[in-house]
Amino acid sequence: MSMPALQSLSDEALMERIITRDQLAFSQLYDRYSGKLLSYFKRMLWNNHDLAEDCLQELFMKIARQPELFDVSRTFRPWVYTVANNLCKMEYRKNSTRGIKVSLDKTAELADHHVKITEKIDRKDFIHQLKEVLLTINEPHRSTFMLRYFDELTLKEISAIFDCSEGTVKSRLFYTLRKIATKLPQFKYA
Amino acid sequence: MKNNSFLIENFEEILLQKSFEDLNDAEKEQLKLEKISAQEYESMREMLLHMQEIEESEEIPNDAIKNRLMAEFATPTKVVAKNKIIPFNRWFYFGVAASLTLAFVFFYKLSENLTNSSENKVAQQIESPTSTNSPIQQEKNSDTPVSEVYTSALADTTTRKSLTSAAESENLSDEQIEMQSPLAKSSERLTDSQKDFQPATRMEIVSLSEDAKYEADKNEKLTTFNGKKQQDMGVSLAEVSQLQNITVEIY
Repeated sequence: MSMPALQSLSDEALMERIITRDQLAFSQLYDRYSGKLLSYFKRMLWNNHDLAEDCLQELFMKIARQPELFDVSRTFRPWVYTVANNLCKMEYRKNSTRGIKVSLDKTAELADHHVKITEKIDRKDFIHQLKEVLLTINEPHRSTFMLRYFDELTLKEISAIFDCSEGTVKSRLFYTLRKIATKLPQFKYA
Repeated sequence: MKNNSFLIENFEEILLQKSFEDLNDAEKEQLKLEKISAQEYESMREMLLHMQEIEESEEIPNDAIKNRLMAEFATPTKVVAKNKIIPFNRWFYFGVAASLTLAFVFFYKLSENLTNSSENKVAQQIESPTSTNSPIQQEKNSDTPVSEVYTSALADTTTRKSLTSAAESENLSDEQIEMQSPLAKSSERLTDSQKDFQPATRMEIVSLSEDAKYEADKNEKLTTFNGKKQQDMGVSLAEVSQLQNITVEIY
């Protein structure tokens, strides 16, 4: 099958082909998700680009080696974000054991400082500051918020990733939004 | 987990569609319950509206990553390579497992038979009309170790002999002799049920009718008296035959 034809295939159909060792299908899936997942890893891993790339490579290496781990009867997107989320958790554990955990309190202070000195914020600054404030939010609220508003996953997909109800996802989103709004009080919608 | 309020269940729709002034009384009541002020509500609304407009440019991964992944995908996995050297056939492993199980069962049964045959020899050796009164049985029926029973039996025999000779001169009855023996004294400390299992210490039980009753129970007890019990009691074959001689000597 040619690349244009593959582009019309669903993620799940691509995975079925990957299980049969179809290289073009693997390449197509990588192109479809590598950018999104790299952004996700970078947001989740303290904006560390190298670490995000390592995680991205590890994730796709898992798919390349054992594609049959994916159940083709299920949806691919929640599954791949679940794997990505688990990789992030592993990185958090590694950092906590190494003792090089990023000081979230300090990050929060910096974020507050940035907000105080900025009366009016443009969009780029807003995203930057929002990411910094998000670092102060505990898991799984932070990843829930990011998956919803940065990666634009549906509530159902997020609930599948965290194996919880949609109500729980809504509750997490609501309280995270409230917390962020409290931490960025000077922000005004432009 | 408690049920979400109406506000939380529908917060995205409400925040995106209504300003604080547009909220109805029920929605304002919900805000009060959540302790959210009008200012805070507006701040959350502005934040969410702005979040909707975020179109963050995607990060572009290094091309080297894709090249490495494609190379990895093209090469057969390690598991497959291994299987080429040692073909994976699950029936082979099942066969090996079954053979090992059978071999284990065979050797277990064999060792069990050997133990039983040696047990039978011991049982035959100790089988005698007075074996119920043997120190081994006494130990089986009480918590006293064989060595102590053996010592007591020896002491009892000696005392009995001296008492019998004394009784002849003092005209003591058999019961009086019995009460003065060391075993009789020790039996005073036993419970009634334990006393029932101490026929050797009570002369009145040693009778023909009791022997007949013993004969009936003997076979059953011998079957339960296995080699393991011998090991637990720490009695060797030599000790058993020695004890048998002692019991014969007593009676």
